[in-house]
Amino acid sequence: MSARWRSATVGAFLLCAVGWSLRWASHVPRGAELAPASLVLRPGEQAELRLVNHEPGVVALGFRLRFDEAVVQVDPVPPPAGLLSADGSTVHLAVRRRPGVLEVPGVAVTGGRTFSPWDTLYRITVRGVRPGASALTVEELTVVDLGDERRVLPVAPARIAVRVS
Amino acid sequence: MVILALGVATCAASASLFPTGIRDGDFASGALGSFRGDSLREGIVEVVHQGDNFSGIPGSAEIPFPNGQGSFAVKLRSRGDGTPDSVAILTSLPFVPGPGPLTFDTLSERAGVRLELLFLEPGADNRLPVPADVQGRIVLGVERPGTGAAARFTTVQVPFPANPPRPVKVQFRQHTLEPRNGYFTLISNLRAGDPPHEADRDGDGVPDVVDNCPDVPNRDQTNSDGDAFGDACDNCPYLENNDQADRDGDGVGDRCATDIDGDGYTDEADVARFASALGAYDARADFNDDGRVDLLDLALFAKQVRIGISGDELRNFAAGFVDHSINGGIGGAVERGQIFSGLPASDLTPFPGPLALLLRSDVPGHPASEGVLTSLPFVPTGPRLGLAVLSENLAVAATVRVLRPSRTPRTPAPEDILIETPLRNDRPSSGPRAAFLEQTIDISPWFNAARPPHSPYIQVQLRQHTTSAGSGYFTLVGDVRTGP
Repeated sequence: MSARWRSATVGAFLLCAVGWSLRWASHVPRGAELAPASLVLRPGEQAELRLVNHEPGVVALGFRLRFDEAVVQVDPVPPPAGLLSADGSTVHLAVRRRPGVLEVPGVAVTGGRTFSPWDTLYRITVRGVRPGASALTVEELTVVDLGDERRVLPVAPARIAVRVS
Repeated sequence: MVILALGVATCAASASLFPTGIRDGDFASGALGSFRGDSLREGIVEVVHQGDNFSGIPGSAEIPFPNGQGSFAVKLRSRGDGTPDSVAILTSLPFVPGPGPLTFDTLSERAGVRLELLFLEPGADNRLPVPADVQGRIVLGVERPGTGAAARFTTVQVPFPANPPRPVKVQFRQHTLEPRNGYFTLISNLRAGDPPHEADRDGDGVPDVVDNCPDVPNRDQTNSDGDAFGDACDNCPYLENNDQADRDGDGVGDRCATDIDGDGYTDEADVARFASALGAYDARADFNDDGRVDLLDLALFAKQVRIGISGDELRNFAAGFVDHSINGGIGGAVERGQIFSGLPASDLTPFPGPLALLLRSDVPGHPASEGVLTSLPFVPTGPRLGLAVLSENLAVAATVRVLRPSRTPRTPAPEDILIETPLRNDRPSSGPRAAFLEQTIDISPWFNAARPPHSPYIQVQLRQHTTSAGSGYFTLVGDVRTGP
């Protein structure tokens, strides 16, 4: 193989490697997500949604959930009452409610622990109320990291459909 | 002439490398400090505390030490079975003698020991110095041997052999003269002329210019959070707070003042008080002092709430321990699959989780070198402390302590040691066939079953050192947790 062909082969290989890295990086989730991203419920039926972390070193968070209360009812799991969790691993400030809004003012991990990527930040139950569709939107998800830096993370809304059949 | 000038310059430079006078000659930190312990055939060198029982012959706990209650001395003796060629060796770091003689206090348990004093060149081998490195050698007579409350140390003065003084290491060598009987010799208060005067307001032997607590005696200078203040005078010893802010003047720094209602505990009531301050202003809940109470303050608050050892989940527990090792001892965390020993296949050792804590004496294996790891203070989540332990060899002394939170965790006061018990070592091993041993310790006196968050804060401390000079072996501890 001539030197020219060798150079061309190495160049092509490097281009492929860079392209593959960029493609892979675009698939690494960032921020946080609601899982599952969509739900279909019957009236009275309930299911659990999790707010899943994709950022390293998260120590505290707060957010607001907005939904159509005519279609779904949303509750935290378990209902925190401004107390330490049963195992002492998290502090939960009491949630606040307004029509169509559930506000989670603060959750923090104790003792220097952290939420790691893929850890569940928060769990909620969603109960179907009457047929219709509702977006479940996480607003202003604010996290504090190990360096005491505060950031707002994007979260795609979940789609909830309530059907009779 | 040029060569002579260079020689003089070199001598002057080498002399200036060494401090004037002996440091740490009273062993007041509870460690060898500026001395090194060595041995031939497993002689024993260790620091002992007045009141300790350190001999098989009754009476050692009653011996009055020359510096009184709470003071220390170094114990030298042949190994347990009294092998005559088992020699204990205590050597100072090199220093330049002051104008006076070498002075020290000593007491031997019985007359049947040989105690030698050597003056060595700074570069001499401690264990087997060649004759050219020995400036002087004296066999010390054993005066007034004894033990028990009536025993008294003898003060000995010996002039330095070199005049004018030149850099030297002072060495004591002790061994038994009676086969099958090993007796101790205690040594303390080594002095060699006064070092240059340096201001030391608290009298702890650390000059004010380098003392991290110039007004509180803390010879060991323990500083767990690495800020500018030693634990002994830090109002928030496990969280960096160089401003030492304490707006309510309760002695607990604002950065770690999670007991917001001041009842002595950080519990649900404090969380509720914090919650009520959210979005408003309450100086006691504004931990970062930015004029409002928000998510950043919640994060700082929660960091200081330690319910359960920072470690109930193995992935994180090693972060809850602080390295307080002594004399070059080693304490830290190792990951499963990591090579952590000179013996083969340590990387194949089956851990109980992804991480384990590792403790051992320094690499040469000095018995006085101790690996020490201390947990951050925490509230126990149950009446039992559990852990899994594995030592590489029988020749280690490994213990677990439960402490009342201490300002001097490296050398806690006896009243702060709530429990001390040996770590199991009935199947020492390493490699793929090694197995961690489960061990459970009753801590129910410090657990409030009725209101768990109202249990007192405690610390768990792990200590390990080799018992065989020249050989350092590891002890691994995993799965440290409290529970039912």
